[in-house]
This record gives sequence, structure tokens and C-alpha cells, in this order.
Amino acid sequence: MAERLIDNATTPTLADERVNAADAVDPSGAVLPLEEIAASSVEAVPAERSALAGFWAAFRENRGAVAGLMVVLAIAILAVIAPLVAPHAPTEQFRDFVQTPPVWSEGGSWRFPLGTDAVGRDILSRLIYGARISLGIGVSVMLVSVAVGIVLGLASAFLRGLADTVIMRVMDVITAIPSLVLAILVVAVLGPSLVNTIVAVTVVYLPRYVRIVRAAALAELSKEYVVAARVAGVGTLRLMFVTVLPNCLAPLIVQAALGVSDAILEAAALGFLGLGAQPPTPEWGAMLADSREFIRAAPWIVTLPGLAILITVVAINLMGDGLRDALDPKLRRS
Amino acid sequence: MTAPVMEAVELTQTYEVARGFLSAPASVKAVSGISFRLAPRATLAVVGESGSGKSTLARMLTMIEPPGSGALFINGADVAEADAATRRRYRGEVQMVFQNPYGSLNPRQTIGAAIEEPLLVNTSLSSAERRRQALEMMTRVGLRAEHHARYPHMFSGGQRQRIAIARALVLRPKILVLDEPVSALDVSVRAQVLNLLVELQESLDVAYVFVSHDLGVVRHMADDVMVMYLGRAVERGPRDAIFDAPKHPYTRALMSATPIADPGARRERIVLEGELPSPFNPPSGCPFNPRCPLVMERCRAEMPPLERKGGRLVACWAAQDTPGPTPMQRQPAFA
Repeated sequence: MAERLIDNATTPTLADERVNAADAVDPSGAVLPLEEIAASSVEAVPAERSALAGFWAAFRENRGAVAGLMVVLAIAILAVIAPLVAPHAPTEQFRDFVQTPPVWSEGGSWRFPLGTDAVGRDILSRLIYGARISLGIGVSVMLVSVAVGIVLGLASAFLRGLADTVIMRVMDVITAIPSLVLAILVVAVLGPSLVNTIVAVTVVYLPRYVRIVRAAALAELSKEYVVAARVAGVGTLRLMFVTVLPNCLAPLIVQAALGVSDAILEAAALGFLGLGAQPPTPEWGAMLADSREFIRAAPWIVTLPGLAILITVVAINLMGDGLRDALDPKLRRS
Repeated sequence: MTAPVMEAVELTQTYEVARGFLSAPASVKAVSGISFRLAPRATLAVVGESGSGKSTLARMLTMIEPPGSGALFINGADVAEADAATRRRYRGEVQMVFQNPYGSLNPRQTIGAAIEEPLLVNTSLSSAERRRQALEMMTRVGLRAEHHARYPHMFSGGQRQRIAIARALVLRPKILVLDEPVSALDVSVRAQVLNLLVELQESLDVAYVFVSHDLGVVRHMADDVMVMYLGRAVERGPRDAIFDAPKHPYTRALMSATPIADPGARRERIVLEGELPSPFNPPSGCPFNPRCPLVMERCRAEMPPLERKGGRLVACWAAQDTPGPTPMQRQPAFA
């Protein structure tokens, strides 16, 4: 390359002068700061930050979304620091304080702010520890199904033909079975446990991610920059994950955020049916199931876990809607 | 004559198009029997209206799709016979610039990353060296170093096309296929980009295959011109021969449709009747015969071969082997 440049320099044209000027700049400091920025793999810092700022400005307009985000963050923080904030251990039984009402009812005490359940366990502590399990299930289901969904969706979009047909028809079969029935089926086959709950819910929610990735990838594949990358010699794997995938992310992020709340609900339903987390694990759905016989005698025991599920799911959905509003105009623009 | 950097021999591409569940798939000859030789540093312009097969030809030349039949030689070597590694090297020899600069750049890739990508996947240069070459190429096409970390949506159409050109040239190809590179640009920017292309051709020793429907641009850029109609070359030869004395009635009609910036100029205006025929069902004989003002009996029966007449190749029974253009008056059928 270098020799060719020198050859060209013998016929001084406008372009050559420009190149020479560039060569003169090269060793001097003028270009160096940029090289340093680019070298540290965060080449996109200025532009990326402004894109993020634009996203935040759009997100902030939606008050519900911001409130949802704050609630989700609060629950997540509580879950992480559960041992520090929970007044008691989640499985410790206070035999003398069975079915103590919460502090605002008659007979309640600050020792058990939200009361105790049928075997004398502190409900507040169980709810705080339960947030770990519910959010854990929600997030891990989301991560696994997004990862698998990306691989299957991209494979489907890129390979077309038989692979596409097989993958998409399997997804159709999964969608055709009611989600809870399918989850029960998977758990029945694998046996009830927390991990199997995650597997079951992942299987149930896989098709939506596969479909979203495939549809977005097909739309991107028809664009010229994909052909341009092929002409430049970019191989299929790089084309899938480096060229096309980043352009499919916006709808996927929205779906993933909303998918967390669906997964929490589904896992709670399985827990309620006794097919999810097993006692004495403080899982919200299981807590609901354990206490449903006391709904007349001690309504707080069954109400509070239900409220916890409700608040978490609503908060995540509000946040997800805000994400969609903030990301979609960008999707249309680019 | 120097050895051609690219030679096409009878390139043909046929597409099968499914027509419903029960009917047999139809086949469309998008390109048929295209041959040419492209000398180093030369520019071959491919001209034709939409649907004439220009873009399919460009896709075959850049090896995005293999030709249905015929052969493509790059530096004298047959592309079809090359193994994967050699073909990879040819990839570096032929690059492409697309028509729409808004679609041909990845919106999530900084332009530095976009220009370095061909180097990243085709060479084993260090990242510092890749950056140096990318910056050098950016300077050549008239971009500044600080553009390196920006995203395509921050640039105008003309600048984007400069980016696309830099990306195509960073591997130092011998051949650049330009698919209507300026037709999506503002007229004011068009000339700048064309001048840039002329400049780069001289300084980088690259041959152009310039696909266009804009004859004004072609006249400015081309050494050789190939006029295509319905997938076939109807006239091919040196620019001056074709522009001064078009032999094929289709070429003449194209020329007469080019606006000239002289309100006082008077000239013959040939208006073609009818539409481009359906490629599913091309007319028998010469594909141009339903619209041709000079049509004869023979045109409906026999396909005219591409013959040397008056200093260029032309596929027309009516064209005479004389230096002047084919007159457009309807001739008696048995002249």
C-alpha cells in the first residue's frame, strides 16, 4: 500500500496533496487524541452518550414509567440487601405469635409490622426474601429466553428454508398450547422445583422472543447495508451478531422488560399450584397458596403476597411501556 | 492493449419466480449474454432504464450472487474455479458503492468502524494500522478525522456517499462497481462526488463499472458505454462513438430524452411508445421490436446479434455499418 502511495505522489493531483497533508498530520498530536479514544473500545463515547441522553429525555416525559422504574429499583434493592433490612429470618417460626395481625390492626405489634402467618413466620421478612426469588425468576427467565430467542431467531432469519420452517413451526406449537397448561406439563415432566419453574416459564415465553428477533432481522436483512457488509467480505456469524443484531435490539429490549413481569406472574401461578418453589421457600405464589384457607380468619396473610405481586408486575409494566415509547420513535427514525 | 482487470463472458442470470401454489414457477432472464472487458483505470458505464438488468449485473460482478451461466474473470483468473480462500481475495479486488447512501451504512456503526470493517475481516492488520488506513482513506474522500467516531445519521447524503466510497476503497480494490452512486444525491452535491470519483480513479488506479441511467453523468465519467435493454446489451462501444452517433434506436431514444441546458437548442425528440415488456414473456426476435420505430419483419422473427458496426458493437438489424447515427425515419419494409 505504501509503495502505491509514493507512486501516486509523483503525479501531483489534488487528492495526492490531501493525502500528503494527512500523512503530515498523522505523526503529530492532532490525530492522537482521537486514536486514544478509539483504542479503548468505547469509540462511540460522545455519540453514544448523546443517544442515551436522548433516550432518557424521552423516557422521563412518561411519569408513570419513571414511577415504575423507581418502584422496580426499590424492590430490586430490597431483594439484594434482604438480610440487612428483614427484621427476622424468613423461615423462623414464632410459635407464640401465630396469625398476629399487622401493626395497624387491633392486636398488632411493631415486632411483626405486617403480622405473621399460620405458623408464626414474619410476613414482612418473607415478602422481602420473596422478592429475591420472584425477581430472580423473572430476570433469569428473561435472560435465558432472550439469549435462546436471539440465537433461534437469527438462525431462522439467516438460514431460511428448512431450518426456518422447523424453528417457527415448533414455536407455533408452543404458542398453540395455553401457557399455564404447558408450564404445568413441563414441571410435571421435570418435577416441581425452583429451577424447573424457570425452565418451564422459559419454554412458554420463548416463541415471542424468537418471533421478534426473526421479524426484525428479516426487515434488516433486506436493507442495503447488509449487502454492503457482504460485499466487504463480512462472514455470516459476524453479519448476524455484529451487523444485524444491534439494529434489532429496540423491540427486543421492550419485550424483555415486559417479559420479566409475565414471567413473575407465571412463576407465581405455578407456585400457587404447588408446582413451583417448595415450602418453606418464601415464594410469593406459594405464600398465597399456603394461606388461602385463612382468607376469612386472617385476610392479611393472603392479601399481602398478592399485593406484592401486583405492585411489582404493575411497576414493571409501566416501566416497559415507557421504554417502548422512548425506543420506538428511534426505531422509526433509523 | 493492456490485460483487462475484469472480463465478463456471456454472463446470464435467470430467476425462478414462484407463481402461486399450483402453477409452475416462471423463469425471468434478468441478464442474458453480457460480455465486456474492463481495462485497468478505465470506466465502463452501464446504461438502461429500470428493469433492464443493471443491478443484477452489478450483483454478479461483485460476487454477491454467482452467475447462472457464463464466466467472470478477475485479473485473468476464472472466479468460478477459485477455492474459498482465493475467492476471499477477489472480494478485496471488487468492491461496490450503492445507490442509496441512507440505506448502505449500518446505523449502529460509527463510520470509523464501518470503514475499518473490510480491513478487520479481510486482513490481519493491527487495530492501530487499521485506524491509520481508515483515517487516511477518510482524508482522501474529503472527510475529517473527527468524523471517525460519529454515526451515519449525523451526516448528509453527500458525506454518507463519501463514507461509502471510503469503505469500498479501503481494501484498495482494482475494480469498483458503482450502482447509481449519485442518483440519490442533490444536484449540487452530485458534481462534487463525481469529481471525487474521477480524482480517486487517477490516484488509486481503480477501474469503475458505473451503473447509471443519467446520460449526462455517463458522458462525463465513461470511457466505454454499454446500453442494456431487458437484460441484453443492445449497444456497446467507446463513449464518443456512442454519444456522437448512436446506432441502436433505443440508444437514440435514450439520448433524445436527456435534457440539455440550452433553451435555444432544437433537436429531435424521440418518444418511445409502450412500456418495457414483461420479462416473464419477452417478445420474440429483438426484445425492442414492440417499441422500435424502425421495426421490420426480420426483427419480430430473429434476434439480432451484437455485431461490430461503425466502430462499436450493436444489436440491431437496421443499424448500418457507417460512421453516422442510424436515421430514425421509418424505412420501407423492403428497402
